[in-house]
Amino acid sequence: MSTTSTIVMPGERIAAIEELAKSKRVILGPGLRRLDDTVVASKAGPLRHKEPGTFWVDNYQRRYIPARGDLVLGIVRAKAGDLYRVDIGAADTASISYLAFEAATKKNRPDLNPGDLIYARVLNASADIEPELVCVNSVGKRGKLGVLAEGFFFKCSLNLGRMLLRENCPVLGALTRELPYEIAVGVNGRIWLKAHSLKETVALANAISALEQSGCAEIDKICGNLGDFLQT
Amino acid sequence: MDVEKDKLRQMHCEFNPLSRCDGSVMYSQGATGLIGAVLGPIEVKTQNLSIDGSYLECNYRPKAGLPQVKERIREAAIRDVLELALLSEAHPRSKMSVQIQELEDRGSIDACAVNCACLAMLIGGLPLKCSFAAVHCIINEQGEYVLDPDQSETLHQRASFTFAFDSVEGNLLLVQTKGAFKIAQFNDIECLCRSASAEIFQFYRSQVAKYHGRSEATAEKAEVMET
Amino acid sequence: MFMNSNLFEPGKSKPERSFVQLAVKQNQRFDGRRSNECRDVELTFGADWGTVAVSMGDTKVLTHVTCDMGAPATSRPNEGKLQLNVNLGGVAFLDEVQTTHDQRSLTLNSLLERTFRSSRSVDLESLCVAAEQHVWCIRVDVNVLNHDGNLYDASTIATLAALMHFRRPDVTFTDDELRIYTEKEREFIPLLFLHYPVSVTYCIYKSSGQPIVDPTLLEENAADSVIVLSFNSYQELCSLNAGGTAPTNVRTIMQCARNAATRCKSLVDFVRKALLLDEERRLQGGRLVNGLVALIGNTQHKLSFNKLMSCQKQEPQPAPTEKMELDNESSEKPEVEEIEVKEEPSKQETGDAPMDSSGWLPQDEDSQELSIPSDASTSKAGKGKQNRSKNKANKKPQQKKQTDHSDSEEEARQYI
Repeated sequence: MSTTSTIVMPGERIAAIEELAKSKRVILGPGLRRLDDTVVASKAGPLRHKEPGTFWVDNYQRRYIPARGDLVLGIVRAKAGDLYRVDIGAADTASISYLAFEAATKKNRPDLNPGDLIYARVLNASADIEPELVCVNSVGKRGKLGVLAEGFFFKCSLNLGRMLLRENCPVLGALTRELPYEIAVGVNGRIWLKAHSLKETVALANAISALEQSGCAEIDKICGNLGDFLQT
Repeated sequence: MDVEKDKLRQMHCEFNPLSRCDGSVMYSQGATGLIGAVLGPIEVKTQNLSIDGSYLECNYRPKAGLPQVKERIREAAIRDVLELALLSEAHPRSKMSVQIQELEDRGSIDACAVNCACLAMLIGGLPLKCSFAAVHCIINEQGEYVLDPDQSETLHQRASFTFAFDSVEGNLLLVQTKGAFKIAQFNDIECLCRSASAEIFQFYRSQVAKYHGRSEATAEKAEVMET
Repeated sequence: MFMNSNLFEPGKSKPERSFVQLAVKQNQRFDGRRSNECRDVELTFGADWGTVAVSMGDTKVLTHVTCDMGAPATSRPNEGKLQLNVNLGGVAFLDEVQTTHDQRSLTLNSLLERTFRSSRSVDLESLCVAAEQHVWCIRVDVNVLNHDGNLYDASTIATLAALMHFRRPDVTFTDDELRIYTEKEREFIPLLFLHYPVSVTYCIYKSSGQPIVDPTLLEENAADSVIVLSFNSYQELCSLNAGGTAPTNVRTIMQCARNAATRCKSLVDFVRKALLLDEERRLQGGRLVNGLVALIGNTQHKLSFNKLMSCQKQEPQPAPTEKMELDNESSEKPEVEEIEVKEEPSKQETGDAPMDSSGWLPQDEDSQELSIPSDASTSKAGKGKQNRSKNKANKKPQQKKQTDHSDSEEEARQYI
């Protein structure tokens, strides 16, 4: 994986991608669009490239745009007929059916109330329809999805959420060495946390929020602080 | 502090000083300062809903009192420019909300408000066709051109001009003139403003780079781990 | 349909609420503050008179004061007008939340009205130019920039600082002709104050008897009740706003009130100090006055409460933070002592300016009107269980009223 750290601005033509597109398949990620035969940026930020042919513009966006397959944290807003309305921080409220929970039937409805926090997967999402969520996988098991009771819940930037969800992200591993905890990260920039005690949970939440400012380069330092804090 | 007549005043900005919105910027040009904030795409009221594009809401708030005619005109100017630059088809059935709050009005507030809106859009990650920059210029009593004047310099002006340019083709997005002038002067000032707008675009780029550079090192480290 | 889904507000989900309740019970706060610890307050003055930006953590408020000539209300022909406007829209995006918007702005507006107008903190009679014809109308615009809890305190501090910072033009009225002087012709005049009120906010939870001061938005949204107390610098209660569902015992409220009174006093001292610094900067030369552009980046134009007041701590008077101890029993005694201590300087003050009653203020009328709120406040304070402080408190208003006048007189004299 290579990084090209050239900053692109909206409206800029990116000739490098056009060149590459002549010889092989190119995937344009967020912040890039095709305009006839040219590739044009629509957001400002560094242009990123991942082999073989994926390009996107990195951006500190805080508004979530739903995409199929994303894991999100949502707050139940209301019941509406056979649906729950869930706020996932996107433009539209998402909906989730009563039947989209494990072992749910018409008779046996899940007990969800406004204010409940759920971890769900986006089933379908498009700009033109409201997003739909599910809390089960394709074989009807809940897995890690479902209602999250207790614990603490806070908001972070979309970038931090995505970074934590990357495979072999150093952060969560490093934190595990300090103390055991449960975490659910939504790509919509929301994080749910639970540790043994309240103090530990607060300390973890602060440590993860601190990453936002400093980035994972300082993960060791943050872990050190965390350890010190817990000992006092 | 005095700036030459053909130079822009010093520009400064701070990204995301506000925590509630999707993107915000505190922008200043000399002693003129504004806060811009964007929210979007968000849910839209049914009366404004459009199925083939997003609805753009733009508000300008003065420091004191409710928006008057002057502020409404400024607001309309910003909205016109934004509508030309916003890639509205990317998020249909939604709303983009842009709010500008005046902090300190010390000359060329119209141009600063447009620049502030652009920076807020860039940082909020809203899709744009192009970025844009506005420049204010006046002809003073002696017939000299003063670029980006301070309030003290605007007291005896013959004519004032505000131009906004896009970043791709350099097209004019907005022209506002006041006072009496010759067409040759208009052309001169257009050229002057056009060259100044390049400086503003450069400023945008360097600020975005600076903002991203802050965590550049960290991102790279993460990527190294990934490979 | 669900218009408020666009903005994320912490404290709206069940886990958050139960977590905050639990945290309060264990005496923990998310930013590591103690329950009686406030966030730092930063003031930035604008280039114009009467422009102030206040930030408390992420809560940011911009206040601007303007004045205008107008006709007085028929019921009060010899008083100026004070208009307070709260603007929650704009960059704070608070009007997006349509259901709660009304309540939020109404509560805030009524708090400001009661704190500044009903308590008669600004001497409105001095704003009268010609009775029944021309008075000054002072308009305060409170623009909320960002909301991270405790808008109440941020707005009252901002309003007080802006009003104290504000200068109005001089004006003469002769032969039916009104003449307003520009700043070059005659120096601008500051407003006259009868007292200086600010508010302190507490959140109370069902799970714990311990109130927490200066809540963040998460804490405020999860709270069962919110108590806002306004005190002036003489530690008189100006307004009290208690709502919500948590049953609170009188002792807790008294405890809050006592701590709030000390906190308010130190806040007013801080505002005074910040104003002095600002004045110094202005005297040094106009070029140094950056205005609100100074908000960008980390400049020395931001005046921080902790920094300014920590210098003062070296002076013999008791530090405000020590006073904020919430232990019921231990803080009672020092409190009473402090009142005694404070009375002495105020007596001296009255002694200093006894003769100078040269008709700036119609004294009799004012003192009558003033005595009503202060009596009410003392009787409220007296309802607590300590008789000692009650006696003290009952004695106080008399002296205080005098200090009120001498205080405003002193200020008046400075600018004559």
